[in-house]
Amino acid sequence: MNEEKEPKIIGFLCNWCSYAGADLAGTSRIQQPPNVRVIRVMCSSRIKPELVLKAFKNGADGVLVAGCHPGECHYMDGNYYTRRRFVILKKFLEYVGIDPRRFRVEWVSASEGMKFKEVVEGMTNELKDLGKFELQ
Amino acid sequence: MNYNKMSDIEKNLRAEAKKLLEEKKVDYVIGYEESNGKVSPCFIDNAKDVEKLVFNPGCVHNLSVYLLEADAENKVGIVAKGCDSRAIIELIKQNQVARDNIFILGISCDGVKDLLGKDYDKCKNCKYPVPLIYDVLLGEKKEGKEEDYSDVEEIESMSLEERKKFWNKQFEKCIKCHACRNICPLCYCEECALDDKNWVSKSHKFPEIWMSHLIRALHTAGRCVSCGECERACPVNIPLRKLYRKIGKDVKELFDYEAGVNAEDVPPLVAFDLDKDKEKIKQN
Repeated sequence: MNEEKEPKIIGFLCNWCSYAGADLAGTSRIQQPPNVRVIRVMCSSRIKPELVLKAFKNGADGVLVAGCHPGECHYMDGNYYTRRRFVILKKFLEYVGIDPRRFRVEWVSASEGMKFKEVVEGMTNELKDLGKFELQ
Repeated sequence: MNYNKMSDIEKNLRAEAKKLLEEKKVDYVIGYEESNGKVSPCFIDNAKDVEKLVFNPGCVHNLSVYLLEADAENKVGIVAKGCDSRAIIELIKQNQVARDNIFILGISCDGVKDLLGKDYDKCKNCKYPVPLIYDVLLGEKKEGKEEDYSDVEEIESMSLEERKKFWNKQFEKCIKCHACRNICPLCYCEECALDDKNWVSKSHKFPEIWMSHLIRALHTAGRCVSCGECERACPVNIPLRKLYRKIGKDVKELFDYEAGVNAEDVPPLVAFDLDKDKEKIKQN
């Protein structure tokens, strides 16, 4: 793959659902684009906005935050906070001129290997259309 | 502007402050004084000095930022306009100030003016001219104006590319003096993310400058009371209030929450509402 042209996606995946979902996609040998660099976190609510900003600052073309479906959080209510926090961030990024398609929050459960693939594929294709992310 | 009414307020303010200090209800009063032809904040700890206190359209400062410097055992009297009172409520809500330790000299405000005699943006559409929390109220109660987000909507109506250009141009002016943070009454963290080199370096160039403005904006989410002090303190006139008010607007629309209105409210980002959130927040 041509490193220069391929979009780089930083994926923050929650340990209990989305990381397991991504793992399932792998063990089931579901083919998917290799553009997501995964960072495993214990809960999607652990991601603070700074982490997303830093990813963009350091050259990510897109950021994916994935966690358990609302209501299924391993820690009971973590992702309810995630949901609130990131709707604000997303709208704000749009306000300062960053395409909202570059930042995604998705709910992927441990059994949804297929969904993980679809998310990654969808995001990669979208980012290919959008081109490289430039801050300035 | 009715200056007679203003001087009435001033007279009553001095009387109240004198009473507080004489009866030792407070250790000191934070108010405004005139020096070198300008209005500046002052601290009065002696009943003899209350004649220094003024209140006029030059009294723009949000004095609540000085509450953070008070010791826990200090009792403090503070002069507060409508907008300032919201910051006080927010500080009480976030356990930075104990309600029992402060005596609020609330002032029903007719708006303040800059050195050129122009109204500040925050006063043009002031929703709360009367303090929302006070121990005594000076001046008469009056109605506020409707909330107006036209400044934010103006930017929202631009294209993505235009918005990026607009904000980047603004951020480029920044000299990173951190005045916006230091003057903000709600920026009370002892360890600030903007001082942490893991998040931002000291550089005032891109992309660091972009990063530090966005971090600060997101940290004001659900707590900024739009007092406009950041914008006033900014030496290069970055329209910070427009930046932070976007988040205030979203928080209002999505979570039906307004910062600094009710000390009993739970801050929006440490709370959730299962049914409403499900309905209102559709990611992507």
